[in-house]
Amino acid sequence: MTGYLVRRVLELVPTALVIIAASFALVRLAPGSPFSSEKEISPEIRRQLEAKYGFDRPLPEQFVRYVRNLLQGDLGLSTKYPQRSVNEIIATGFPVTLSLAAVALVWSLLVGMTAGIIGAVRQNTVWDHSAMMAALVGISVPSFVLGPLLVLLFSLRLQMLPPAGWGDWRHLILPGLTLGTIYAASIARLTRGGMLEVIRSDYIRTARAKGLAERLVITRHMLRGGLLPVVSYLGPAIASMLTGSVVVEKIFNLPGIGPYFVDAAFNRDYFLVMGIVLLYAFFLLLMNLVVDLLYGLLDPRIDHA
Amino acid sequence: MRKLRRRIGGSSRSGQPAAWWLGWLLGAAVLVPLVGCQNRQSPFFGTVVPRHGPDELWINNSTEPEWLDPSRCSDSTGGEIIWNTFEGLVQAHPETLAPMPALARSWDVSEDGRRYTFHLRPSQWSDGRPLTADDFVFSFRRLVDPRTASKYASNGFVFAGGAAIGRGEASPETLGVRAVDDLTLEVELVDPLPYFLNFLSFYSFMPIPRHLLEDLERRGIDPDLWTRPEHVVSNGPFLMKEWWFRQRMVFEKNPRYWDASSVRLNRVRVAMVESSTTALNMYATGEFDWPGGSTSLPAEFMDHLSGYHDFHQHPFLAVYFYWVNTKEPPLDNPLVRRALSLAVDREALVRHVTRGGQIASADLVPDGLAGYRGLGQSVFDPDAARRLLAEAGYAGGAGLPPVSLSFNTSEGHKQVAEALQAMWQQELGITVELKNQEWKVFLANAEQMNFQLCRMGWVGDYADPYTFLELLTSDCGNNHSNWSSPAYDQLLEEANRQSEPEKRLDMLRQAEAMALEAQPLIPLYVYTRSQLIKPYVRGIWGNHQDRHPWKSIWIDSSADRSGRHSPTPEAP
Amino acid sequence: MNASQPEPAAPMRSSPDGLVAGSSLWQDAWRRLRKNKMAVASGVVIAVLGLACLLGPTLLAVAGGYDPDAQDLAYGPQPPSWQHPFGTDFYGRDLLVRVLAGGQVSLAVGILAALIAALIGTIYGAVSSYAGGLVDSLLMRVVDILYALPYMFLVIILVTILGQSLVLLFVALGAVGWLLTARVVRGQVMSLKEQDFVLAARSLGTSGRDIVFRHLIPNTLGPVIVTFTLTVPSMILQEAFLSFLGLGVQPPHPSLGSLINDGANQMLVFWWTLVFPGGVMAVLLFALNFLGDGVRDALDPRMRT
Repeated sequence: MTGYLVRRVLELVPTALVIIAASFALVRLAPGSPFSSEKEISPEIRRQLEAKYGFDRPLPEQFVRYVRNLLQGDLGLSTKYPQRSVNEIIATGFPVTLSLAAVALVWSLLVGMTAGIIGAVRQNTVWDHSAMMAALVGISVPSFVLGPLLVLLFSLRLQMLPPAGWGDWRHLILPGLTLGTIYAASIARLTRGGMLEVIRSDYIRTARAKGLAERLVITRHMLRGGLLPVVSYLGPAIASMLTGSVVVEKIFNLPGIGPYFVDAAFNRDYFLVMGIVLLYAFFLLLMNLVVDLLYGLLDPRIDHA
Repeated sequence: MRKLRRRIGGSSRSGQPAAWWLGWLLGAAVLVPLVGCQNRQSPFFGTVVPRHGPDELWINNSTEPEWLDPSRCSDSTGGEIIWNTFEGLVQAHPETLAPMPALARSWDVSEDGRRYTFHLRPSQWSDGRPLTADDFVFSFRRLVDPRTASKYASNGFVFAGGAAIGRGEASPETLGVRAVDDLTLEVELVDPLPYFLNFLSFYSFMPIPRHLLEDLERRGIDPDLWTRPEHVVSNGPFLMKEWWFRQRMVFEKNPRYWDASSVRLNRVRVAMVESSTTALNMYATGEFDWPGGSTSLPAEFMDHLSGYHDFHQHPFLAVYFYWVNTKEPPLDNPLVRRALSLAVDREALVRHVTRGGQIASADLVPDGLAGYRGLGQSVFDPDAARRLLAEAGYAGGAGLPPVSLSFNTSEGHKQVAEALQAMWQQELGITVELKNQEWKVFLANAEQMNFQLCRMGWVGDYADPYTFLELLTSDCGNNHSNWSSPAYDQLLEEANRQSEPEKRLDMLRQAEAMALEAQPLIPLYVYTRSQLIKPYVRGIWGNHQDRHPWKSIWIDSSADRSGRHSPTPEAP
Repeated sequence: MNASQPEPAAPMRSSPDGLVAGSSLWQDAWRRLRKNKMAVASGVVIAVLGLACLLGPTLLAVAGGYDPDAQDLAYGPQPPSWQHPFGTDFYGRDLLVRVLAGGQVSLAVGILAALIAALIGTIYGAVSSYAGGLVDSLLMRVVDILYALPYMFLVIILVTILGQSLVLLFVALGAVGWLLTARVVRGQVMSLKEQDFVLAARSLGTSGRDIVFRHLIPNTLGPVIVTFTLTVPSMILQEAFLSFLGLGVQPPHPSLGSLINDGANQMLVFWWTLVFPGGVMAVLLFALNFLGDGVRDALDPRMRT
């Protein structure tokens, strides 16, 4: 087990390097400059700005310098927010995104798994159909429609929750629901599918035959089997929740890191783009590792030895 | 080993009546209009009870500013903060924008209009240090110094020697700015610009606390961070106390401000909300008293919002137009360019598309600006347009290749472009391809003249026709038309040397007519600002530069909540 | 001799575990699919919608002079009426014909992008798996790396580099969306390549290219079709998200995504601009999802009754 873990972690190093190189190349390929704006700036000033960020150097040199700084934990300076380092920008935004992810995750698991279990246990009944129908609605309604609808209902009509902004827990409810619903819908379908798959298997039949109470059969045996697809889905899902949602954070004006995926790319804020892409890649690789380890625990058929 | 399957979704093999799930859809379809219908009883949009004390103001400033450093700031969101935390030599009257004394108590102008002597009032920085003429000299030199890398360095080119310094050809010390003594400042201009005092109230010309920057450097702190709340020293009516990145800023009254006795607010909370719909929601629930000047309301909401009593609208010193690349066939033919302009129904555009009360105009300079009498051409003449097109050899649009129109991604630009596309198709039979480009791509293409028509909005930096006419001069970096005319350049130069205002305006008028004859751009309309202001907020005037100093704002809790009010009771 | 050797493309030899099956599998699947009322209903809905989108704009133009791009600014946005069953939009354009034209674009984007993804993914996965060894691990590492880069970041950069046109939009979405297919196919081929018929072909001296394209890939079609049916709706949603960012289909041409985005902006004042495009999109996604589920169940050998 330890050997497996060490091997997996070591494998990540070349992957990470290629990811850095690939995203570096991609960002630099896009046309446009981080310093262009509606009003023309003189060549002399452009030169000064480029020198400040080292953009006047040849690209390979810039890349080497970036990697060297990265190893020291320095992600560089933002061009869009010239008084902030990328480290600082991520450090201020990440807690917000993390809180949002927590609410979204709890909501999606709670609703998704409940609906999935109901669907599986009461297969082909009205319950099943309504749960799956709701899940499909959740999947097919884009968050830029769901978010404004929730605001309309809960903030403007019922005046229960603030429409946007960041402050206390009340600001997290609506964005959390909006973000979580998409994932809840997928989780519901996966849970149901996973459970139905084990429902016909021998060990459930055995458990039932042993006279185990139905509730115990469900919670102990079926759920465990049903969890497998959910776990493999949750890995990348958590990684993308942790790095925020562009749409949800924009609609609710949360100062998290989600919008940077789009805005920093649009602004050609090279170092910020790189920082945010690396953060995502880091979480994704980490979560995939965790998922594989969890698989070993949940499914006795897999052995990492 | 058995292969492990990861399934993607649940299965559903049963039949269920199609009506069943159509019911769901119908439910959703009913829900939306139900919650969508507005409560029409209130004459105001949302709550009218302040959610804070009477000495506080909650507003929106749309987005995180790039710089709060007056020498480096180049966006309106930063400008809004700088105007309220710094004080320059002159200030603009909150209603008329006429220059009024600020830190300069008075000033003398030389005979030729090129030398100004400012007499400063004794005042202090917020840390108690005296503010002297040297702080202005330092600031103006820093503005043009290429090492500052200011995007607005060119603002300092009004001073003698500024342009050469900006090109890196001379040292900043050669700038025509001099501290005669602690309280006397002398500046020398390149031209006797009649708009100089108005221009001087711009945020680029605020003083900079030299002592703070030097102190930070001594302590080994990056002096670029001097505007952070933990360091900042300023001299305006308000001081920054908190700055939550991309979230909000909190300001408090500056007790050391020279005119502190006339400042009525003690605390101003400034949020940064980009989406106008979100800002509108927050205004409705009372999170904002005023969604801020730079937040534009979506066109779709205009008809609805303009019925409320807290809705206000005023003209704004900015012109919306399309650049024409005059080197690109078929637009290299002036007849085609003029046909395009004549075929635009600008009245329909502002009434049905932009909907914000914009002023339809085929002129580059807004009418009435600083006494300027506009050309007054807002002609929609499709017959003349068709004639011109036929004259150019493309009768009925036959033989005319498709023309492309670029704009940067935005709902508003898209709406205008779609409307014009249809008008040109309908009136002239011209096929127009729309190119929606992401901002940086759009800018790169504009810079490289890689377009045929492209949208532009130009905000006047000061109240003078020259701020618009300069756009078409040959050496203006913002001239994206490939059109240039030595006669035009010379006329403008002569006008700026002219010290008699009436004559100068006449010459500018001639120049504008000359340029529009060639149609290197197609003006569409003059902007307006539409805003919502809670009835209890007083002291906000609609003016054409959209400047609303917080120092003249106060909260009137006894405000009449039933009728339309004008936030204009008395002049400061 | 090997090339002329007639080898059944889809081998008739059916193996007991059902992974390799002959045409009887397809007949079985078709029979099962037809018995699934939900899937059949969805198929009919998709066919009807597809036909309506394909022919509707032309028919309406001929019959009633409806043009998706013809504006009547003074008429403006009007609620549904007999003349305009879905109402009109901001420019006075008939929304019904725009929804149909938009459906055309969305369906085309979804299907073409999913096809591109399936094509790249299948070939990539099959080649990687068949080659095995170092090539396989290298190719799969590339997939891991692309997977770890944020999806939307890749699409945005691709769209900015390639420029915005409808065709490039398909390419950008497809070029990024093939990863899942590649993984699925690789797993499938892994188990296939040790099967008798492949070993037999190899012993007959069939070239590697022929084995991959004539023996392996045809036998992975089942899972590929399943992935494909589930990729189509997700591509339609991706296009909607790109429209939210302003990177989708260019005006005046509508797509369901751009119509919904416009509608979401205006829903407080002109509710019909969201409800009708949103409703059509929901029906379409519902049907595609149900059909996808149905196809998957039909092709799943363990569901055999």
